[in-house]
Amino acid sequence: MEEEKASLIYGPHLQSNLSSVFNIKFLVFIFSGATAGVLGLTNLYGFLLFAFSTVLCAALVALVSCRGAPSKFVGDGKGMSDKSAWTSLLTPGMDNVWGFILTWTLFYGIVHVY
Amino acid sequence: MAPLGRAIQWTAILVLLHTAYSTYEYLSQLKALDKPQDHIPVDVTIEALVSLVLFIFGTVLAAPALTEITWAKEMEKRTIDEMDSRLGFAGFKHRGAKFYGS
Repeated sequence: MEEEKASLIYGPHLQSNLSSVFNIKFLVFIFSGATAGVLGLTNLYGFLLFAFSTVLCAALVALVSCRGAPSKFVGDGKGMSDKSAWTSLLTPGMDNVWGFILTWTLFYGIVHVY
Repeated sequence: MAPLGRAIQWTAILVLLHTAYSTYEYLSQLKALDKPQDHIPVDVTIEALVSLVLFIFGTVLAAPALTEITWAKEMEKRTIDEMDSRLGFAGFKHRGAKFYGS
C-alpha cells in the first residue's frame, strides 16, 4: 500500500521542485535575517520575525508556485498528501536557520553597533 | 514572470539598504544628543517589513516554474510504448520477407 502510493510520484519532478523551493527559502531567510538586524530585534522578537517569514514564505509558495495545491508539487516522497506537503513547506531546515542568524548578527552589528 | 520577480527582488534589496541607512542615521543622531537608542521611527520599521514582503514575493515569482509530481503529468510528454514496451510480447516475424525476400 505504501509502495503503491509512493510509486504514483514521478521522482525527478519532485526532486527539482524540492530543490527549487529550497533555493527560495534560502534567499528568503537570508533577507529576513538582514531585516531583523536592521530593525534591531533581539532574542524573541527576532525569532518571531523568523516564524513570520517562514509562514509568509510557505503561504506564498503554496499560492503562487504551487497554484494553491501544494500536495501536487512538494512532499516527502512517500505519497501525495496535504500534510506532508505543508510540513515540507513549513520546515526551514538547519542551514536556513544558521543563514538567518548570520545575516541577523551581521546587519545588527553594522547598523546598531558601529 | 521571472524578470518581474528579479526586478521586485532588487527593489526590495534597495529598500532594505535605504532602511539600514535611515536607521543608522537616526541612531547617530540619538547618540550625538546623548539620548537612549531604544527605538526606531515607525515609518522605518514599516519600510523594513514592506521590503521583506516584497522580497519574498519577488523570490517566489523569480523561481523556475514547478512541475507536478504525478506520473500523469510525465505521461503527457511520452507515449505508453516508451515507458512499457512489453518486450516479452514483441513479435519479430512480419511480412518484410515477403516484400524484400527472394
